[in-house]
Parts: sequence; C-alpha cells; structure tokens
Amino acid sequence: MTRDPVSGLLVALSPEGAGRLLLFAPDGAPAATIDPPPGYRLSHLVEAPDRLLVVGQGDAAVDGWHDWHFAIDAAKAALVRAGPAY
Amino acid sequence: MPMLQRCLIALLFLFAIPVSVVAQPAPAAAAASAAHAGWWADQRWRYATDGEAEAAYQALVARESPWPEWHQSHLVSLPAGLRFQMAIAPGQPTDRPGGFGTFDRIPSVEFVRMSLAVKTAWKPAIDRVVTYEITAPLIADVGTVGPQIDVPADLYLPGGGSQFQMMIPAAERMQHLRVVEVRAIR
Repeated sequence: MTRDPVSGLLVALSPEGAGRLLLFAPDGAPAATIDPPPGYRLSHLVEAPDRLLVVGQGDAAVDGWHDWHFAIDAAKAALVRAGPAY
Repeated sequence: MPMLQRCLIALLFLFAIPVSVVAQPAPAAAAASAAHAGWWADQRWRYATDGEAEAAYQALVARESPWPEWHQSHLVSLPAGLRFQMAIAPGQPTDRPGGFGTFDRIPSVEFVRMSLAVKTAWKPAIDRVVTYEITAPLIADVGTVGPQIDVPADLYLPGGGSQFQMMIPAAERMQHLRVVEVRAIR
C-alpha cells in the first residue's frame, strides 16, 4: 500500500486480470477503485517526487510508446496519461 | 583597385579561411544548460548550421524519441534462444517486462542512465536487471540507443548502447519470453 501525496489516499494495485487500483482513506475505509484505461494493463506503482504514478502497458503504441505512466485523479476515479514509461 | 590593396585583401582572405574552417560553433544556450552543452559537443557536427542543430536539440527535448535521429526502423524477428537484459523498477514484476531490452550487459544504474539513456522521468527508480530468453520469435525494432536530455536533472545522456523495442501488444510479451536470471543493481 502506497500513499498518494496528491490525494492523501492509500493506493494498492491488485494484479488480477489487467490490474485494478484500490484506493483507501487514511483510516483504511475503501474510497474508490480504478480500472486501467481501455487497451492497457497495469504493471506497477511508481513513486515520483511529487505524485504517485502507475505504469500502464498498452496493446498498441501511442507516440511510439507502448508503456505509459498514468497519474491518479482520485476525485474522478480516473487515470490521466502523464508520460512515457521505459 | 590598386595592386597593393588587392594583395592585402587576398592576404586577409587567405588568413580568414582557416579561422572559419576550424572555429567550433558555440551552443546558443551553453551557459544556461550543461545538458545542452554536452549534447552540442557530441551532436553539433551532424548538422549544417547552428540553427539546424538547435532545432534538432529542441525536437529531442520535446519528442523524446528513444531512437537517434538517423535511426531507420528495422523490424526483425528475434529468434528463440536469444537472450537479452532489461532494467526493471522496484515493485515491477518480472512477468511485466517493459517494452525495451538490450543486448549489452547491464552492470549498474549508471549504465542504464547514460548508455541506455533512460531518463529519470521514464523510470524513476531501478533496482534489478532481468535476463530474459526469447522462447518464440519476437518482432522488434532493433538499433542503437539515441541520446536524451534529462531536463530536470540538467543531464545529457549520450546513449549508444544496443536496444530493441518489442512491437507486439504488451500483454503478449511473456508468451515470447522466459526469465533466466534476476540480479540486483545499484
């Protein structure tokens, strides 16, 4: 479980299937779940200096890259493409 | 024009040619960025003018192509039995490999940053190297690692190592691979 410094929520990555993010409030109460964007499977969490990211590995390349970092938008329970992942 | 004047002009011209030929063009923003100066020292020669070189530098910063500008896409079928290495991140399962591998031995994180030109933003942390073996033919683009500019760190990453990019859906990667060895690196 890793803390997202932006939302303050705790985040875990369930590896089942294409992966799913599980978000919890600081007291441990479930807050939200986030599925990968269509065409992606989630690989692992990345602690960037200013935020928590998740790597999504894609079926097809976007701008030449199959793998991308996605930022967590906890308020919308969504993932936002942030930049290429190696 | 008097003869003496013509001779003086000719002499000035003769002295001016070698100076203009050997003079090294200076990077426009060398004082502002060590990364820019490093790139300029290595790459300026590829371009006819300072303007073209600067445009190529700005394109690299903006587009972050993992391939050198001169790369021609070269899709091949990597054969079963071929081994390669890949640097992976803390928490990254070995059955979730990234899309790039190298045929070089990866001795350290420094090698990953400098010779494989992996920007910090692309992989903030690295803790292991996995040796994979190809078990079924794998379509990949193969070539040389291109240089990168790590802007936040003000670092020029020269690249130059070998690399290939898997050209199959990510979910199918492990259908073509097996893990041979995992070791820690620093």
